[in-house]
Amino acid sequence: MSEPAGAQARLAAQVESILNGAAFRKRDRDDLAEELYGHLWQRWQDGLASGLDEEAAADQAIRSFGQPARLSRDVTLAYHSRLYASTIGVLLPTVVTPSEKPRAYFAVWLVHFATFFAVTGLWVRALMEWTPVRAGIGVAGCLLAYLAVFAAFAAYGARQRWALGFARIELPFLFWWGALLAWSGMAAEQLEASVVGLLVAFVVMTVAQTPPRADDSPGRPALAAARSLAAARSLAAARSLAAGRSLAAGRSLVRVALSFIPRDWRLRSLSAWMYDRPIPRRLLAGLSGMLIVGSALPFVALNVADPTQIGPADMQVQLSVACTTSSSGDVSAIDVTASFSFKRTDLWPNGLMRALSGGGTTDQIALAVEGARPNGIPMITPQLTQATTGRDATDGSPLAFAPTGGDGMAVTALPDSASFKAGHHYEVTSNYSVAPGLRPGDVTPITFGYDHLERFYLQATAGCGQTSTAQRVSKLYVIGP
Amino acid sequence: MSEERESGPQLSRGEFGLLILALLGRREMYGYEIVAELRRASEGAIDLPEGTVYPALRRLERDGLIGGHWVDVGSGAPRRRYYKLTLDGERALAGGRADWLRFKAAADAVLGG
Repeated sequence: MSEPAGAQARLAAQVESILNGAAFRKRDRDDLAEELYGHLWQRWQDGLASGLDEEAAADQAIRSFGQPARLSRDVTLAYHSRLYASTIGVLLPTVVTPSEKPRAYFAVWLVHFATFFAVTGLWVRALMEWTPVRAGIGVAGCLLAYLAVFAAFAAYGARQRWALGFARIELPFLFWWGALLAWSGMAAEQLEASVVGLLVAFVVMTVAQTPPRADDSPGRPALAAARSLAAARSLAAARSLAAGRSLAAGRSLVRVALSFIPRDWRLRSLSAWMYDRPIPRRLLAGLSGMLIVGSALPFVALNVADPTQIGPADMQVQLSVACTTSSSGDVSAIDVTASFSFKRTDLWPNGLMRALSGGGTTDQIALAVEGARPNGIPMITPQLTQATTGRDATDGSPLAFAPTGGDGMAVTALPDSASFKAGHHYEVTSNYSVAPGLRPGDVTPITFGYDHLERFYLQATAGCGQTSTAQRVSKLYVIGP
Repeated sequence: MSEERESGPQLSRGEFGLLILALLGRREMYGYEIVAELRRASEGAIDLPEGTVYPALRRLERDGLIGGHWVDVGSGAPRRRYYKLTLDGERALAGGRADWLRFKAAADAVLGG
């Protein structure tokens, strides 16, 4: 096809517009382009012959040819399945055929894609790593958001102007989504000096106005988010807020972040390039609601009590301490036995992925056999023996674990806690030999703690000859949050 | 001529393909000619956006029902891609026409035509 000029250039541009929006084999492109152009050219010629001027004839030819977005989809369907045309066929041409797209096109595409990616990432994570009910809520929320984002993405590919408006909602969503993820990442890993930690520090320090702490309650990021949303309503207010802190870097970052907020997008050419396909206000509000509510649901899910997971009431832990005395009346050995049983067990406590791959979930138990005699000598000394064994007392099978520590304290990681069976009784016994001279009255109470997946903690304390039932505690004596 | 038909009877993809096969059963034609002939033969009742004929032609060609070849027309005009029925296309046309007539008879019986 030779280089056309004037009205013919418009016809060629129309062909490009159609083909750019379609997904099909590259080797067919030239043939199809020539054929479509030939049709428009002949229509244009007929218009000229009927007395129209060049521009009017071109208008008529373009108008009668059909809407490019519809034709693009039809061309895609001619080569691919309806499923492909509705998914990849929509998304792919929006980025792989630059052509005459305005410069701002890719920036907005990136917003849609990033939102799409963020929602995808979360539902995959929820499905693979969360407990069943939480995963269900999280995935349902993500799918809700997914539908809205996909509709906007598809509309953007079809050059429908309302998708630009929707991107305005997606941008602040992405900003806070990233901040929340960064926060949760830092909180989970207790990161202080890392990219994630710094990003979170930026948000909290410039907006909540105090440095973040690893043991912060969830209220602070929520407060930060609320303040930021309020501040984002006005660039001047946000600047003055940032200026109130002596954080030059923070102010710069705030400016960068706010520059993305669509006050003046400088996207007029992009907007003019798109088609005016208004959608009902209620539908736009509905899609926005789907994005916001849907993406909030996973965070809600994380705070929902999952009935498929056990609680403290589903577990019983007892501690028994037996002291053996020698003929001199001194304590020669201390036997500590912790027995525990489950009324029921967790279902996929670490998500579908761990359930499929097996293992990975561990409970921890901790024994603290500490204390000092009146003369200052430790009750249990490092050089004396300690042996810890475990077994399933119901069927007699051994409980494999590797105790650590030996000077009166043992923190032990149990094997895959998902393998525990409901109704079975498990026992962990530590036998301590003690140095001569320990009188029964000098034996300080011994503490046993059970940490179930860092979800809840049970702890019991007993002295010589005593048995004690463990109670729920917020933090274990020797290990804990 | 409407750019998009928003209401009224709509041609399905299969029906549109059958009409194109029927036109090509008469003689070789190129896209613009098919659109014009469709409009003329239907006395304007079938008035689709003109561009829609090309995806339909591509689909029929991909399915092996029609074959296309380029023809130079000279005098600075773009080349034209002419289409004609293949043997499979002729069989598909015959089958489609029979199906359509059966359907039409049934529809007429219901509608009282």
